[in-house]
Amino acid sequence: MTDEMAAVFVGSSLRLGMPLMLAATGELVSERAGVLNMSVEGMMLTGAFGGAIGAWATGSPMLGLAIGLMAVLPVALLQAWLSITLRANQIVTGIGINILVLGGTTVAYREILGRHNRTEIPGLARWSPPGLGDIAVWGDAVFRQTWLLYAGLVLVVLAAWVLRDTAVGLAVRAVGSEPRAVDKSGLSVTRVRYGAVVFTGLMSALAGCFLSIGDIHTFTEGMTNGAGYLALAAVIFGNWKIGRTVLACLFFGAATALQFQLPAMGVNVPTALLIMLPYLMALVAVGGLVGRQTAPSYLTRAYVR
Amino acid sequence: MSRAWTTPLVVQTIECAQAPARLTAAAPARGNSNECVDDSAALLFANRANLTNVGGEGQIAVGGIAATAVALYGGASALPVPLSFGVPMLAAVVAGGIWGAIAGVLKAKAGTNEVISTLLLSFVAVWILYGSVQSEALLRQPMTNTATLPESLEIPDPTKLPLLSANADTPLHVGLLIALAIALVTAIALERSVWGLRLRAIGLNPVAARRAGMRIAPAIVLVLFLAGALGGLAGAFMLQGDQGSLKARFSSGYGFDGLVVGLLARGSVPGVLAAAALFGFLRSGGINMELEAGVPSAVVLVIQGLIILMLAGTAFWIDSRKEGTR
Repeated sequence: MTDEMAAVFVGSSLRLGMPLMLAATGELVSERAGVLNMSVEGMMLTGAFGGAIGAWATGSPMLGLAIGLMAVLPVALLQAWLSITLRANQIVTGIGINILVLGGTTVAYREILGRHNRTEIPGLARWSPPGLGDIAVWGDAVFRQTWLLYAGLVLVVLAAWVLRDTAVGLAVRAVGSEPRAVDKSGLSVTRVRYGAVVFTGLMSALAGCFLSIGDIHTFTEGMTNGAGYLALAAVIFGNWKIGRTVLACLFFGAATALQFQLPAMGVNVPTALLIMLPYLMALVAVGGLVGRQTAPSYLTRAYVR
Repeated sequence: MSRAWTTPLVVQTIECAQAPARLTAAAPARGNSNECVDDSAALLFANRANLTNVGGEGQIAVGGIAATAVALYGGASALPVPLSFGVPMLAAVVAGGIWGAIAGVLKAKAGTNEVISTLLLSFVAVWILYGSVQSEALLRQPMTNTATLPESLEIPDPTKLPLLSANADTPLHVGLLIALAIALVTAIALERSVWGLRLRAIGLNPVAARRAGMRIAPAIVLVLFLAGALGGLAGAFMLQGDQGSLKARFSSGYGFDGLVVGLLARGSVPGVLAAAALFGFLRSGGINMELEAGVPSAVVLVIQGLIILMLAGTAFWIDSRKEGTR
């Protein structure tokens, strides 16, 4: 592998892993609070759609990002209402939301932009940390990325800190492991869980925006294409710990990048094998082959007072 | 730790105990909706598998792969008639069963939540399917020119399921009879046998069942094997009764539709009938709607999503009315 190839590989691994990292961090917080959102996929798609349409309509990618974040709120609140207030089956409602969003965004996109439109949409600016961007070969391929990538890294670190070291984080974790104790302490289990699901929504929307206006500058029907499920797999693979989850996302990103890298290097590996690799890895993880899995004890269980 | 895994186990096994009733409902629904006969059949069978797992999509896929491989390259077409389509079907059943049993083994050995493992297995299977129709060394048809589609050859006629009537407008095939037979056997096994009773006991209270000397791990593996086997059979029906050749998007969405139908029906026979027929109609109706009226078929997805959410959301009220105040 030449230096240049290695640089491109590292750069694209980061770029492909980032949306997963954002969505998985959001989902991890919610799962620690006891709510499983199968709807991460739908939330990402909503964000991608809102961001793309917003950026196209206003001509400003920043406004697009804001619109993408706003667009996800009804979806996240719907998921929260169904799984927390109505105590509906979290897996069924999540899949329901994914189907609804896939249909809704497809129809709306065709109505707004026409059937097979490939309009270039104004995208988020690229940025590189001072100094790093000037390194020969590596600077451009690795460090010159959408600024959202750097913002995302900061957000992930922030989320890790809040979850581990603050009262809010303690409340989130407690709600997922001992909701009754939280209730007795006078804190509302419902409120904390709503907050966690909305956080998942916002992070997923950021991930979606990263795809549509950060990475490829256009929207295509169902463009998340399973990334949401991959984020869920990353949380499992990460054993519900944020550091391991982030590593899993980077690994999944690298596996995806290899799909494009290996043919370029003349290595003939079936694409399907590389695409299924993340799922296989997650399967091995849940199979207990890489240490014991400890899901939050109240995951997917509604709290009844 | 144990508490975390008990609930899914209970749900899973209870659902299994209810499977026969739903299976019985599957067959008549096929006849009801002429337009989407095959859709509904596949969907209903996927539904059987999905009662306990969300991996129907994957089990359909491996079932399809196995049936295709045996029908095309296993020499099945040279066999006498019932065997010529029966052997590929059997291969699909075994393949789907093994796929389901993996989740069962993981659950029994490592306590892995079967919802998660079957979902992951499902993705793996779908990509195995994709890979196998992309590679000529596997199932892809020989590339005669650049326009050769990435799909398998059409399976030979003797390996296709025989139609029940000569009229091509009602494409009811022998799968219907097989379905009825399986329904009957499963119903008897689960409702009238000691094994069925044990299964229900394990579902209702695994701790008590274990204390009573029942072996839980083999039961879990067997139940998920059977669930997977029915998923595999659904794949065989889709291939041998409908599509004729294996394509990358072979199982597209049936597994998930089946899951949702199964969960929405909530153990009621008329429920499965109604929900499956509705989803079957929606699927075939959506295609016609796009062709005839120019309405994007994605509208169907919106409607499906809304139905799922409304029914799942109101389940709480329906349950509390049924059970009264506790």
